[in-house]
Amino acid sequence: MTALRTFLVSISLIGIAVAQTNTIKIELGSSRSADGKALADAASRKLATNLSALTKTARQQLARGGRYHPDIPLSLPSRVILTQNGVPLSTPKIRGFSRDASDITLQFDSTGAGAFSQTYRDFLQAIFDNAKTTMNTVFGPPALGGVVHVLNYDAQIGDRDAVGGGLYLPNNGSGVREIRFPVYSSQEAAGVNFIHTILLAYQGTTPYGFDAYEEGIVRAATMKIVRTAPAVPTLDQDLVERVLENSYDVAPQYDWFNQRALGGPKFIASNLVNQPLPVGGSLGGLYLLRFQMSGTAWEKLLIEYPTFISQFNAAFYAQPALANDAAGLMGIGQQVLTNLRPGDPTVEGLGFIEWAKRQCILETHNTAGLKLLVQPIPITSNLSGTDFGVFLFQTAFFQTKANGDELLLNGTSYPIFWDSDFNRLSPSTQDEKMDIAGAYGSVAPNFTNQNGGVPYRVAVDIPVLDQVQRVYVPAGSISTATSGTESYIYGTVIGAPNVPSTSLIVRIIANGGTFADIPVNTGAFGVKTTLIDPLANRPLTVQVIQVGPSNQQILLTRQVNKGVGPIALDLRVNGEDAFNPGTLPAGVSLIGFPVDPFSSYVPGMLGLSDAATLVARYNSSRAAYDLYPDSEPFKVGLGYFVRVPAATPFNVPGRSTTGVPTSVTLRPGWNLITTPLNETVQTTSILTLRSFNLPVTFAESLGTDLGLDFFAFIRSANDPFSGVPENGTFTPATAFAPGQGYLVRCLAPEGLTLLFQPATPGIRGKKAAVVLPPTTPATTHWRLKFQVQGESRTTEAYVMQSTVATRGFDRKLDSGSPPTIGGFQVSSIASENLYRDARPVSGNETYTLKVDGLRIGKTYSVILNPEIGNATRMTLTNVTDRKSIPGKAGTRMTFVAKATTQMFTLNVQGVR
Amino acid sequence: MNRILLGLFAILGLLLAGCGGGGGPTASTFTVSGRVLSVVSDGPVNPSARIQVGATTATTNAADGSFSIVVPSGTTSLTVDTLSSFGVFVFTIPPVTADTDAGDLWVGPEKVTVTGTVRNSTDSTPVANAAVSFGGVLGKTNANGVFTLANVAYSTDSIQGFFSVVGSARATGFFASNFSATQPAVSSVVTVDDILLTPSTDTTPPPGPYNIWGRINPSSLAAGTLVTLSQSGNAIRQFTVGSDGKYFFWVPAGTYTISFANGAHTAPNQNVTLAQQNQVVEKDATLN
Repeated sequence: MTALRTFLVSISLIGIAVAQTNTIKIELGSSRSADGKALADAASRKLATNLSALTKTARQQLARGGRYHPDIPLSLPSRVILTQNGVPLSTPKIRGFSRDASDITLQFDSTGAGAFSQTYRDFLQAIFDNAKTTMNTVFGPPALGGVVHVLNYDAQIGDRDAVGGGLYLPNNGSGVREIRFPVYSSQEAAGVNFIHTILLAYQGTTPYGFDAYEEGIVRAATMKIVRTAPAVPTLDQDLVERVLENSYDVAPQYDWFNQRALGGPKFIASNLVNQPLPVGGSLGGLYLLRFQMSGTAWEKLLIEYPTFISQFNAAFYAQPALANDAAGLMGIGQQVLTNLRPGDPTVEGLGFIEWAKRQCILETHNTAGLKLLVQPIPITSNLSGTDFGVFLFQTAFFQTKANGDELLLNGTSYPIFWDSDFNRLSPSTQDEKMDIAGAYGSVAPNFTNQNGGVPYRVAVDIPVLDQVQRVYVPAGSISTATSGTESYIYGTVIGAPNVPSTSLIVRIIANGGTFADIPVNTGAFGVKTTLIDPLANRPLTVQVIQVGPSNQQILLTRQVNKGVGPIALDLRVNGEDAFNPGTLPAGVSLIGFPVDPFSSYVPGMLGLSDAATLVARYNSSRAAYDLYPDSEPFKVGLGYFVRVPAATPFNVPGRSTTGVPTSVTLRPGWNLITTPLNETVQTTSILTLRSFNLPVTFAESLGTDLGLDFFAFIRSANDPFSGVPENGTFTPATAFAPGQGYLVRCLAPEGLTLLFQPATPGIRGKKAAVVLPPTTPATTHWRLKFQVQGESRTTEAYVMQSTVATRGFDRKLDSGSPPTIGGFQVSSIASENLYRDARPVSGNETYTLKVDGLRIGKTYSVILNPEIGNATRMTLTNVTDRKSIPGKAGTRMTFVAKATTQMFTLNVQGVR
Repeated sequence: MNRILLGLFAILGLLLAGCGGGGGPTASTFTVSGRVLSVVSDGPVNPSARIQVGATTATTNAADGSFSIVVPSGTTSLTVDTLSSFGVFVFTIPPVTADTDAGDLWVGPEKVTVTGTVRNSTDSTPVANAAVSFGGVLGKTNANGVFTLANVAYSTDSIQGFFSVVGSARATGFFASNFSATQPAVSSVVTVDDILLTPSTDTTPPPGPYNIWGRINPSSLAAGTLVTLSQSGNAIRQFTVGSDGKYFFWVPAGTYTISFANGAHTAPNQNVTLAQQNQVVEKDATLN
């Protein structure tokens, strides 16, 4: 270990490429096979060393959540493929076994460096002998039979605490299929890893092209096999569960962890694998959770269809060309369901494709942009004192590049904890701020007993830059200092209507009977002992029921394939909706998402090819737009410019938060956002939160934390050649309408979170947009709206005088004018172009107004609309032709544009 | 988990600190508080460290590393004796003129120099005179945006603790930004990635997206210029230049030709190829 610490380790070797995360390819060039074996040896040694470093931090993170079992290493069996000129060496036919034989035989060395002890050899052989029948049933027979050489590579492993697992080489460079396997002190770790590694050999020559399939299917099958009674008779089942908990199974918190940041074709980005790793260990991003979530996702299928994977594999072996075809693989999935249960080919109540859309880990497209994931982990042991709802919230914050690289980011988050009525909670000062370094940050608040031991729902928003991830946890429903054992079924309910004289229950139905009716207290529920054999895996039907004096109404029914152990449920009434404007108009639009799309593949949603996709989101940190493919995928609450060449059908389904106060976070500077609710939200219904302060109103934040105005986008007239709008004008807005994007400026250096509140919490409802007058500071002495109309378009600016204004830019009074980008726009010219130009009260003041975006020869009108106070005398002058007229309320000056930009002056005297 | 107990320890620590200083703050003294943390444990220093300013001392709370010490007005440094093999660390602070939070002061078995460059996020130009803080060590950037912080706590054997230290950079006219180290020391020097600061003074909303743009010269002729974008000989877009003298197009990847005309004034056509739609190309033109 000392020597190990003296140099940087790197997984990158000349000639090595990474395909799937668990597959290392080694290019031999023109080397002879003996050289290939040496290269494979070197690669295996390097891989083992790097897995040690890679997993060190992950082990520390697991330990913080009380979930790491130090006697049981993480399990990351891998495949090493030797290639020559880019082509994998053929997998050999060996020693009399035909290539098509459907059985694998293990061959061990009895002497030499690769030999195990007799005892260990016998143990491994027995593991395979006992498990083989179950392996063939669960995973399907080997795609390729024959002899597989099993070699001891223990000497090549540096860190004994971080054994990565076995390596499978379809051809070790000497024409031999080979498993390189370590010596574990734990029989259970050895048994699980060995079965996992042999399953890699079962797969033959063509692994799945996406980690979510390749890793997930093997892990789910491994879990199923080692949990099947006859398969591993010599192993302690409790210890087997510990092995699975370390790196295979997150079934208890699957609902909570099912977040979009998981998605992508690879679990460990190439740059995180290939770049030098510090000896202290690399954070490596989200890889461990991705491994676990993929295994758990496929396990859900096995719970309902025990032979699903064997049939899926068989279909894939017959069509290996689908390895990198996500749609094709999903087609196989649906076909297998249909074969197995023709009358109801669903999993968790959904067809395979619809089900897969909702499993974020199965999103195989690479999507760029910032990614934020929050893992809530209930702390259930060593509780004392006032501990009522103690949770560890671990955050992963990173950026994915268009090429798939992941950058581990630093930042600061001010977590926001909401009680069930959306009052901000302040558990303790140490939880008010979360520093994020190398992508990782955490807080561990205790949500105290607030109401005589009654549990309650806590909504946790973790905002970082312009990203925010919300999770719901039940305080007091799982384990408290006084409650003893942990609940078996627990969770939260959101979105249920608030109906007087009714209560909510969560009904758990299994095997056709009701197992539990669990009361829901202020959005939270939990139960300990109602179920017989509560920790077993099984399909459940979960209902949220509103119980009235004389009737019951089912608000939500969900099928949940529960894994082994307890289960957290995130139940959302009306939790799915669609952003469905019908069509997206041709040309440029600024849209915003009131739902969180299931899919992250933007071209697919727009019906365009990758190359033709034009999507952009403003990034104030760069003061520039992130253009697709660098732009992030569509997310709820965020706004995007899109350009489609023709009107396009547009209907994007996703998770909805309608009826629930929902947060959108701003980074300093300009932000493209929208309402995250599927209803128009007035600014009077928006609260703002800065760092750990209490919420204040939107109006109170203007000029301090928020820019005075925010802007909507008005599409311009059609381009003469493309025939569709190619640009437009920003115009001040007064409310946030669903589907529309807005530019909002954040002045708070640490960023700001906006809480959008629905008109009727808990009930879906839509209100028409109401146009409110612009903000009117009490000190405003006089104000006039300067309006220009023409070609069915209107633009306006405000000139005003205030007792507290200066001649400089006053953040609480002045407001920058939107850029024209070829659109129609009037601005007051001062130190800069202003939409709102406030000056000191003056006896004689002249404002210069510039109108951009005019079309030569077209007729326009200037209209004066005094709104506050009076002026003794006003004079409006068209600078272009020097024509002047006296101004008063409603004065209209018509002109024919002689240039694309024309200037006007407004002289104001005797304001009172 | 026992937060009450932790709180009592903290209060006790504060009381002890006050006793060590010989009394509460007076008109010419102020309270400096903060935490002393270890890069080895990534948590409070243990055993407790001793904070010293002149003859006044205080000890850190073993539970959370916090300390509080009453110091004379104008104090500019805190001496932290770790009372362990880590030795003594001296932290420079701005002259104390009010009660002050010194933040987190990190200690460890080794000391390194941390260096890096602070840049404007919009154009990558260096930001001079930015205040940089890392591990409790303060510094400023030079004219090239470069900062150098000496005697920062470090641990080769517990590098993750060092990586968890969060520094900050701030400068007038910019929003503050946090950073941390991602690479270990080389010859006792840790170089951090460029720190990008976003300007806070831009009150004008950004224009819409584009990937081909340019300026029309001379500015006196720019307004009203018709800029036409063609592909394969066919005009596909036209932009009328406004008073800002700029034009913008947002198009898929491809090869295009741009022509310019304002009445009798024209400029030579320009060809542009976008390899990918996220590429941004500037093509300025001068009307004759």
